[in-house]
Amino acid sequence: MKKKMDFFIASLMIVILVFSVTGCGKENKVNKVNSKGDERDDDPIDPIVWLTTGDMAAKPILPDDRIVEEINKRFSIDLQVQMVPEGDVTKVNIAMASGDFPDIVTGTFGSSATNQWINDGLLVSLNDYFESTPNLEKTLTEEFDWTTADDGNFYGYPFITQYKSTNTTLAFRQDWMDKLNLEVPKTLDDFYNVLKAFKEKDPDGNGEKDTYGITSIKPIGDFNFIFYAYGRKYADYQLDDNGDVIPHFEHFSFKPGMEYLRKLYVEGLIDPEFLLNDRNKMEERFYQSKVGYITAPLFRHVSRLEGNLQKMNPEGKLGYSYPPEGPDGNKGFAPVGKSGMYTAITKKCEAPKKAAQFIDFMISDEGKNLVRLGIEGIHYTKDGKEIIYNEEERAKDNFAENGWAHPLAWGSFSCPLESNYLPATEKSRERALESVEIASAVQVPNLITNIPMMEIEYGKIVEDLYNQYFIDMLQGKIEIDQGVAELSEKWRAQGGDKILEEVQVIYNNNK
Amino acid sequence: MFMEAKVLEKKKTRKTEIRSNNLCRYFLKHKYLYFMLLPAIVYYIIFHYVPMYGAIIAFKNFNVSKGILGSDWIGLANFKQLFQMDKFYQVIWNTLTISLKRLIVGFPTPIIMALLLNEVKRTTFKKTIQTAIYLPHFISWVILGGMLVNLLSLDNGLVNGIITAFGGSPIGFLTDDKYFVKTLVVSMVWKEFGWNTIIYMAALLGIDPQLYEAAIVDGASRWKQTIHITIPCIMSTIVVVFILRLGGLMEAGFEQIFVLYHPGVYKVADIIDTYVYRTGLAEGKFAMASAVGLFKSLINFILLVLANKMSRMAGEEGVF
Repeated sequence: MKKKMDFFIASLMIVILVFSVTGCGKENKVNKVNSKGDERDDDPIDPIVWLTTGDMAAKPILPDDRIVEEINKRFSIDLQVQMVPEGDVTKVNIAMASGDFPDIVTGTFGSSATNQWINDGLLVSLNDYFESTPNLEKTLTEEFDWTTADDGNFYGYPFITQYKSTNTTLAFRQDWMDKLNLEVPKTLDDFYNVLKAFKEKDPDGNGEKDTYGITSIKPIGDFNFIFYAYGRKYADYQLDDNGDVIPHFEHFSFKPGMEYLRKLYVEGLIDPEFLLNDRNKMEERFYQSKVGYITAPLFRHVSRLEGNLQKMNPEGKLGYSYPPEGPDGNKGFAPVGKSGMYTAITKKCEAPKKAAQFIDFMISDEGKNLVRLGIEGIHYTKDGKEIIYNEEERAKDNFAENGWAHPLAWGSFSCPLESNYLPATEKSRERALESVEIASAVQVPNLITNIPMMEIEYGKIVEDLYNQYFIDMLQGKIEIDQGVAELSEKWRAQGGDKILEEVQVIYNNNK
Repeated sequence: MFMEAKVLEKKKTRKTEIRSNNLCRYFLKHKYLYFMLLPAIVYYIIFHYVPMYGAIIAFKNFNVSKGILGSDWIGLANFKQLFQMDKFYQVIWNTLTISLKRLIVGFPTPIIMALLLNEVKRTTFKKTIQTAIYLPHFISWVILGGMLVNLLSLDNGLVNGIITAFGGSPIGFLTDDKYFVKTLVVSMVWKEFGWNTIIYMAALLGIDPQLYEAAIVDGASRWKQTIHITIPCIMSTIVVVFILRLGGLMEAGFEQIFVLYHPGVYKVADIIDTYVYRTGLAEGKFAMASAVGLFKSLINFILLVLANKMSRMAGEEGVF
């Protein structure tokens, strides 16, 4: 009797243990049935899984989203969007590496991971579907003709961020400038004086010298505008007097720029804790009146930055300007974009034509309007030319507030900036557009348009070297001459020479 | 030594038959206990041993479409590239020094804390302290990192506020590479020592009270009791924990460092994991990442075996 009881208890324990282990691993597969039903029997509904990073600004897609339904109806597909949390592209890469392919995948353009997808033959050539995807064909062959793979085919749609325009430049406390009777600095000397005044003349009026001139963002801040002022020409690689390609720290603009930055750092005009700043933290220090200058994306952020600033400082006013000019009148700030997102169709996709048509739709004006404005009559109505948003209906499908777009609009195919999209209700419309105009006027071109293969291979390692030497030189842990010499030697040895060699070839061919 | 081994070998073969019989009987006798062990064994096989075959991509040119088994063998090329990296020796050095510092500061702290708490007679006080010190263990580094940045900030952090209030000048705990590692070590110990104290508290509970009673009769003071009864009784626990800690010496705390570090402190705080994350994993170079993992595991394994051997030589039990 006792033995039976023992056996019973032991078995029970095992059952419980087994369930507690497997319970977590149970897959929750829900067979989604298209709510619209099959309207056309001859065209079956194909499920399409799209794995993407989405964007920080995008909200999640809700079940029964009407925009997704509209797209489903159009192509008789069943679109299932899987957004990895936090816009973390590593998770997409890992999903692909583990063989868990979606039908459509969005990764980073010009990364070794994405490149490997093409080389490993995981992606479908888009050229095969050009007949039914006119927008895709036009954009790829006219705008991004340099993004073909080695075999001359297009394997994905690149969305290059900040390609034709940019929103990033210097933003500052206009109210501090006014208070201290300063003018927006034009030259590097003016800039130095303004920063010094921000540091020493107590612009926040709390009786203490506890403010800094400028802060920036990790890992190494956004201080390249100093080098552009001293004559650095390109964002990626430079040319020496003989026409040979060199890294920018070997260019004549680097040493004077570094000395200037070093002076700012030593005198405490640069916030020493900028190394710890993520974007939120940097903005926080701006709102808290700790710093006068930040390097920030503007455009649609103009009203957000100023709004937050005024919550803490009712007098606060946001200013933005061109970066300061160097001795020869050069200036520049944000580089022309080279990288971004890359949306492609995988070999696993059973309806590649429909997938291609979907991508084609997303980059068409019609598609852009659908994800920005919504469906006419539901999400918005038109009064002549004026668009009236129905915020209540838009909220049901998780459009972002204040006239901003649907979750599908962000990041993968376009961002509002790329086409100067601003909701009709935007408060600081004029200034938002003006900030883009200013930032784009000083956008810095690249020597070559594409990212060379060797940079994909070694880029991270040599960039890492540069980051460390830059900070060491800035903080004075190493003399600038010695730093540049050491960096040069190591940078070239760790793969830099191979990168330069390839860039030289590409440059010579394009000449 | 050698002779002895040979003799043992002979004895073994002779006794094998009888032994296997004994073994069977032993298993049968305790069959329910072994039965209950099964799920754990199954779990380890499925989730820990089977996935181990994936480690072979360290020796392969990993190609997603060909899969783990189908990718081409490239021998030690990944390791070669790893050892040729300019910063590799620096990051190994950092990993080891940070880990050792953590061991030196972090290992005795929970023991001392447990001994102190053991002397506390009022249960409520003891429980409160215990709860308070182990709570930080449950906060993730991502959150704690944000809190540390605020607490230790140069211009409005609490800690520097106190320092300046006493007339000192503010210290860049997180920005100055002279202080960064110290901050890392102290914050890590602070986060984990309460949790580790629990193990020792449990060991202390297992000490036979009669030993203390006998000691009191003999006139031993509290201090003498601690030295001659408490510590020897928990010694085996201390040794086991120490061996396990040595086995994890190559883990210098990726999560914590990743949240707090920046290029200004790469020289002192960039460890193997962070470096490989930046230059390899984030770029989708999985073969490289797994080569590093294998390399680290190998060193950990050697350390573990050595520590275990040493403890056995010193007359303690060891973990295997």
